[in-house]
Amino acid sequence: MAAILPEDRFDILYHRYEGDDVKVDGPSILGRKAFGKHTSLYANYYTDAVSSASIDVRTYASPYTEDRAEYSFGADLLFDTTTMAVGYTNSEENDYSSDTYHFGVSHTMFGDLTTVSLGFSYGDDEVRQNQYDQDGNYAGNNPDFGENGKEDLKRRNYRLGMTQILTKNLIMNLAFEAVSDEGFTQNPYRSALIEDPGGPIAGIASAVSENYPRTRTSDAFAIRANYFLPFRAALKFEYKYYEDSWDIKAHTYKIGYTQPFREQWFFDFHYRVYQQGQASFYYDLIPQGGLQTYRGRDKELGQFSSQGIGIGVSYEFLQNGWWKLDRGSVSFGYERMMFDYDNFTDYYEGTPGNPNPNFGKPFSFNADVVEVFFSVWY
Amino acid sequence: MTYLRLLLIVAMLAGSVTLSGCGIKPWVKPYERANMADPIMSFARDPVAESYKNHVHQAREGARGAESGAGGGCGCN
Repeated sequence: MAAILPEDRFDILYHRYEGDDVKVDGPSILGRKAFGKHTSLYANYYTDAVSSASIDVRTYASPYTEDRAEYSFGADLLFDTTTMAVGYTNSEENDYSSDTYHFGVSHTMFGDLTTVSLGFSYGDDEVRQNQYDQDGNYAGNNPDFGENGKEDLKRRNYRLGMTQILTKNLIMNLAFEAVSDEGFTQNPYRSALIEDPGGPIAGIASAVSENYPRTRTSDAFAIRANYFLPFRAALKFEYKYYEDSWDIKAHTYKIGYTQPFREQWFFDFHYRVYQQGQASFYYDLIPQGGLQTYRGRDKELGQFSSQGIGIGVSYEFLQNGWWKLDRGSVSFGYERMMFDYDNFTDYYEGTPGNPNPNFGKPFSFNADVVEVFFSVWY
Repeated sequence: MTYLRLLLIVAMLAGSVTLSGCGIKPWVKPYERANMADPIMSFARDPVAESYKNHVHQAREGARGAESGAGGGCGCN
């Protein structure tokens, strides 16, 4: 727990998410190296390759593919019992650019039993809207979107945390984060649905543009505890409460268990439950004549719950070191996620000859999340 | 929302000031911290994997914040 610099390590990870006809995969490469006793630098390269025919796309749009590339770099500086961290992240898609600046300070005190931390991030995003030709190929950004073809979003994150060793077997973490968004908070493509007998969507609805408030502030509070069992294994608990100015309230519960085996093997298991209430301007189907100023049909703003069951296996090798390496490990992680939406109706009719059997029912889907990564410490 | 935020900030600051100000001696001695130093007790043992999991959750859920790591962009839908 004493203030120390993060370990020197290099990780290369492949990730894949697959669910609701959406596939997102790509690599993430993270390297970290200390220079002297007081400075540690890191760099991360991360990409998402997205191909999507999600429920929104199936209902009223066309499948698409897109790529996102993210670069991060930063430094941790250690002064006695205080660590300062600075960082920068850039993320680019052909319709979204994002720059984020991070600053944080943490201080270890009280005989190294307590660590308090403060953090601030400022994000400056630019949102654009893509156009596609008749064959569905990318044809540049829409010049008529927003102001001069773009919209802005400013993000500010304020973090406060405390980690406390309570007994020789129990450690606890409290985390609080307030986030404030200002600008274009919505998706440039998604539509809301309004009741329209004989309309183009399943003969019952038409698409109308979404309109979200231009500000959103949120508070999240998390408490985590890790307990070292009488034999070498760890039990982990987490609870998070969330609420925001759009009236969304959410609870996250997670329990985890880590079991090492014969020094080289680590097995992780977890079960996670997430429950969320809807935003004040969320409508599954806007009643005829009931169009409101603010409206949205993003299912992530609706009332829903999800469950995740995950396993992880890591195998460590070269534990006695080799050449300039201290050790290495190879890891595999899998999580099955199950989403159940309470007020997001499946309005996808299906194709001629292959009608959607779930039409008109509350939407639900399962997703598989896979991570494989290789790490070395030096 | 504001009350929750204020309450938390005050509780955390008051807690840490009280602990450091009263001269209470650390009750878990340095030689008793072997279990705490075990990597299985880490809140985020593998930063690269932790950051990816947070990204997946942020893309699929309305809630955000109070997790480990930070990132920009979206890559959602």
